[in-house]
Amino acid sequence: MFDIGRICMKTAGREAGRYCVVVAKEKDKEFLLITGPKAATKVRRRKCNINHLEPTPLKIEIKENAPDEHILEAYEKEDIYSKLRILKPGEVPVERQRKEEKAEEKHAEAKEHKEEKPEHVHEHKEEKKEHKHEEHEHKAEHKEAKPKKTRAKKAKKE
Amino acid sequence: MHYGEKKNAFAKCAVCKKPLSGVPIGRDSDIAKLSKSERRPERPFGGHLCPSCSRREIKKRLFESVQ
Repeated sequence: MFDIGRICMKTAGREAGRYCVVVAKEKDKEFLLITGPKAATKVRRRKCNINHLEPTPLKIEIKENAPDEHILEAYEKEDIYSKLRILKPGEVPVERQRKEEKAEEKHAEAKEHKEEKPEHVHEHKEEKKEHKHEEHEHKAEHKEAKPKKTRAKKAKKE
Repeated sequence: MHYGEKKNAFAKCAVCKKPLSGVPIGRDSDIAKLSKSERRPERPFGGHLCPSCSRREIKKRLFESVQ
């Protein structure tokens, strides 16, 4: 039942509910070496108890202790991604694609609005700056007209 | 007068009502200070179903998908 190449599902642990492949048999009769591979199902290469696995009717042709790359090639040959209804490595689900497209459209619209506004804002700022310059000049004129009393007082005392 | 502290009830499985392991017991103010991984086990259905009920649920979904 648990032959090399048999696709199983983990029923216990942190990776429960994910698919894996039997790669080799351990010396202990209770343990097997399994892998997802990690790029496809996020299950790492490790030994697992037979009681924590549930076999499926699917099987792929691989050698004992095959690397993850050969297993991924066998997955594509036998079209296992569609049979198990899982995503290929690097593929994005349809719902996330739609959300990303909507976010890009909103970002583009916000940029167009920003390009139109700056002309209106800069006019107000320039008027305020001119008004401030006029006030500073007015204050400076008044300061120069009034003499400083402190030095005159000191001279009289002396 | 003798006053005592209030105590919260332990967490139970949603199906079989057994007490759940890995879920701390305490007042809401104390549990809110813990991190997310300290409040429940890192497992599907962790903090909601016990291990035996969660295995049964996973196998049931596998049989439905295969058929």
